[in-house]
Amino acid sequence: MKDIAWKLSILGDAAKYDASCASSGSTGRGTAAAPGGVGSAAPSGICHAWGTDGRCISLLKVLLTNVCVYDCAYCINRRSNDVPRVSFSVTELVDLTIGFYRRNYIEGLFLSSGIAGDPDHTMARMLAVVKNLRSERGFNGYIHVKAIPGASARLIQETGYYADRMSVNIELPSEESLRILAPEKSRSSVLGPMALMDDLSLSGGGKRLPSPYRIDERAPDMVRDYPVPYRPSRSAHPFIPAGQSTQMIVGASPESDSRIIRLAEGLYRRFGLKRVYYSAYIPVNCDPRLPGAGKPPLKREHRLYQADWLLRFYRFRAEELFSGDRGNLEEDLDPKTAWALANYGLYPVDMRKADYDTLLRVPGIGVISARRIMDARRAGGLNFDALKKTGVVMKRAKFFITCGGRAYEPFPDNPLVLRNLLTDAPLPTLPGRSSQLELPF
Amino acid sequence: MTVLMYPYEHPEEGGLSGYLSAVFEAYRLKLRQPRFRCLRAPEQEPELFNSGLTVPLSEERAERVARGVMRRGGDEVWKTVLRAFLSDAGGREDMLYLFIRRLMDGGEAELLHRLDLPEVAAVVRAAGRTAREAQKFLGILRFVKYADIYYAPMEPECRILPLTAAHFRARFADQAWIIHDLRRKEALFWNKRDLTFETGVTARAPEDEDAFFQGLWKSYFTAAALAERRNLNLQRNFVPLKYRSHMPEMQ
Repeated sequence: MKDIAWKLSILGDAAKYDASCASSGSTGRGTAAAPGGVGSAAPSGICHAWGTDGRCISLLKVLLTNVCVYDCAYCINRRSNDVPRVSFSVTELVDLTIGFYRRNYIEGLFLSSGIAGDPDHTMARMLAVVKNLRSERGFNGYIHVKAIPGASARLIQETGYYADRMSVNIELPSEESLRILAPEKSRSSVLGPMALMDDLSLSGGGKRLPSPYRIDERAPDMVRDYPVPYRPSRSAHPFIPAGQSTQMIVGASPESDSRIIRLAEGLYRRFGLKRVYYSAYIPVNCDPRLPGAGKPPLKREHRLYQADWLLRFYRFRAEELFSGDRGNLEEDLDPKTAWALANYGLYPVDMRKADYDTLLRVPGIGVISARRIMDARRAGGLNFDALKKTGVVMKRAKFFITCGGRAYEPFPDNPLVLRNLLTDAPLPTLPGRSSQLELPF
Repeated sequence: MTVLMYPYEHPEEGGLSGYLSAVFEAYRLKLRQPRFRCLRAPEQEPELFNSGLTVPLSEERAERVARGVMRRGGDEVWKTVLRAFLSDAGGREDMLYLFIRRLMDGGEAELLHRLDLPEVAAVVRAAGRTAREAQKFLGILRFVKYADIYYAPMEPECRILPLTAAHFRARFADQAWIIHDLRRKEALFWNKRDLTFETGVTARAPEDEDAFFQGLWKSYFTAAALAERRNLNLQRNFVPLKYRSHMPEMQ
């Protein structure tokens, strides 16, 4: 039993580069007053701990093994690295998961793996773990499993009936980068399982919102020749009820933010992904194909997440965020504020009149505060005091809004002036009138 | 100014019925802005100036007020009242009384959205505090396995024990557990069949009994963090120091 600790530290360490942490989106399995087995899945997800990097720990995120036949340049577990190689047995990992779960350390298991032997062999071992957890141990907690690129459809499908969520990481935002840095993977080996899982979710009664537009992706060569679906009593096991997600490494390859966000949008639309994660590249290997040592681009990652949120919750489209020939998001300004400054004529917005979509496009107003503003208006009272209590971030919003025609702060007639009020960046020279400019303070 | 003293009864719901009995009394006496005090709440100092009017618990009267609140406001308002009452906001009973009056006087179709009314804003804020803390503890509560029982001590600011019962009962139905609010000396006991709520619980189980799993958890916790992204301020935003004493990974 003592080498469990050793395996855990290696296989937990090796899995830490995966950014996905969500335990949300599942059904209310096990939440009845006295369910059989142990555990329940809270549909909203629960965070259990936060590490010294401030990232939440919700699931026990481990590899089943760090043995891998692939040699991806960016990966700590690549074949050519000299690291200790270990594997969990099914029982070891199941006991560990249940032991942690019963102490309320975790919300469930996040199972990934190196490719030991061939993809099918690896996927089958992962399936054995989740099957054991669910069927033998009556585990109702959350399970996230990686789909192994290249594994057979049947294995991926069966795994999906035991898991809440599955994911296959796209890792690099273009086929070119994938070819250079992860030669054993290809666009189709990643997108194939994604398409398969999306098809299975939809055929299992899942719904996708109709897409308002088509993505311009060159049609991915999808795997459609999978065998007759395996289906263990559909009502008992819905296929990945919490959907699928993916991850891209940011900063290991030369793609622009625009490329990344457009790809993310395509994935949301085409495959109905629940989440795309962005992971600031951290050098773990010395490799001439990769950028050298340096700080991970955390700011860039943060801006990408903000842009991603605008796509998913604020009804933005990717192309709106990259006006003109802009390839990257601004570092000093969040993408919504940047969009507002580029569309200056739409502001200020009156809080008593604007519709929901317009409210969502005001910097400092989020989904919740926009809804509260609508509610407060309907209930009959909205003034600046009430507005502050809705949770609007006045620091940003105050310039862009009026309430019943009254301004909170004067709206500068030049966007450059406002840009300066909103960033700490040095004042840019205003074309032609810099000498006349007077700042309002 | 009249002070109404209400008894702390039915701890499994945080003593709400006692308070609602007093609210009924305040209505009956047509008091405009009474003050409320709880008697015998375990964490409270004995009142020095017992100059108030003691209102006994009346299940029937409490029930009438509760039904009134639900009829006028619906489920959402009722939940907000309960959560605000369980919060640690100073003067919450007085503020809730004003809120309930506003609700009963009617005229406000969607009272919870009237954040421009001070009593509404205060009640909504207090309820949010309780709800957030309860949600946080669903995650950061830690059980120590002690013999065959899982024991979880906690020291929340709000009285969240009543709000966590259903979750842990469903999740850990097949294991015996105790959740102990050390500040209020109250505990929930689950013996795989019945849930009981006890007050005046002072005995504690040792928290270092479970060394094997705690050790595994700590080593996983350490391994999972990315050194290149070290950010202790962010960590502290999510896990304030006040919550750390019963989390083994934080020791």
